[in-house]
Amino acid sequence: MTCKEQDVRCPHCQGLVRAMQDFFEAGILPADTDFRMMSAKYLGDLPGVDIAFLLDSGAYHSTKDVPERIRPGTLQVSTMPGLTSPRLTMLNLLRSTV
Amino acid sequence: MACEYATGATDLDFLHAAFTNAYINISNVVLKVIPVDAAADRAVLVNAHFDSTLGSPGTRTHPVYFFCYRMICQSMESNGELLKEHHQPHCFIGASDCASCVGVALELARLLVSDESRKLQVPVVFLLNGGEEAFLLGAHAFREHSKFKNGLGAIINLESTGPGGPDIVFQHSKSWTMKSYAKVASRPRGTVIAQVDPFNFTVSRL
Repeated sequence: MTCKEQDVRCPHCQGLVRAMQDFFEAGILPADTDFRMMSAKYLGDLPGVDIAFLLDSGAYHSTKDVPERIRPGTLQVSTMPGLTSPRLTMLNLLRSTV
Repeated sequence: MACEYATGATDLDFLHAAFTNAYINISNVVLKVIPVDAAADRAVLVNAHFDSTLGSPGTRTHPVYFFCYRMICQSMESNGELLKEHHQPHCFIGASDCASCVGVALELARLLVSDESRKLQVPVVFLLNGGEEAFLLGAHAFREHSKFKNGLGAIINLESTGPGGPDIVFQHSKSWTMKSYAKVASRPRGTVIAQVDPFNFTVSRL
């Protein structure tokens, strides 16, 4: 997997994504996602990406995962038109490649 | 658009243990957005689950979820696992995991339908998945039984491991998807690995 165009602006991006994928492939994280059931990498046949809100994992699967704890701006940036974000840009890009 | 109910069974390996799971009337809500002048037939699947983790209100009374929950507890107890405290029934909420994902998906659907300038070229299937926390059974139900299961070309899965954001790509399949992301995302989110805290407290308990 390469992310060459992004290396200058985000030199850590490639390493982070590779590290997270290594964790999942090693089977040491006590979690899984529907990506495993659907994607060509595992049990399904679809190419694609798995995108997650990552930080403050202390609230994950606990009583702390409440709306008030969602960091302000997180959802807005994910969907706000005109602002780029992995979710929306991936959707726009896939329209031209599928 | 449809609300689908499916019954079935599947095997799944989780943490190097083999599980066989059966489900009865698991529910998925599907919305398909089709452009008037579609350039291709194959659709992008956007998946977000609306069920909360086992032990949340509602899951404790649902027979499928409760059965899975009890199986997990009994398995861990028999293996001498010290996770009983973590897996006692609590009032989990699931705001980020994954109500936030459902909200993002619905907002994306609204934007695609309402904003004519976006010129959507292929169909998009929004799957609001009702069985992710129960060992991915909702996804299996969609993949095997849904009337929308055919004609898919790619998947964007929305998830959360914490309410702190930001959204970041952490898995992919087929290299062109990451090339596409790198090409289009002009503001990628990333950080040095040492600053990421994936499952820190959970891993330490295992």
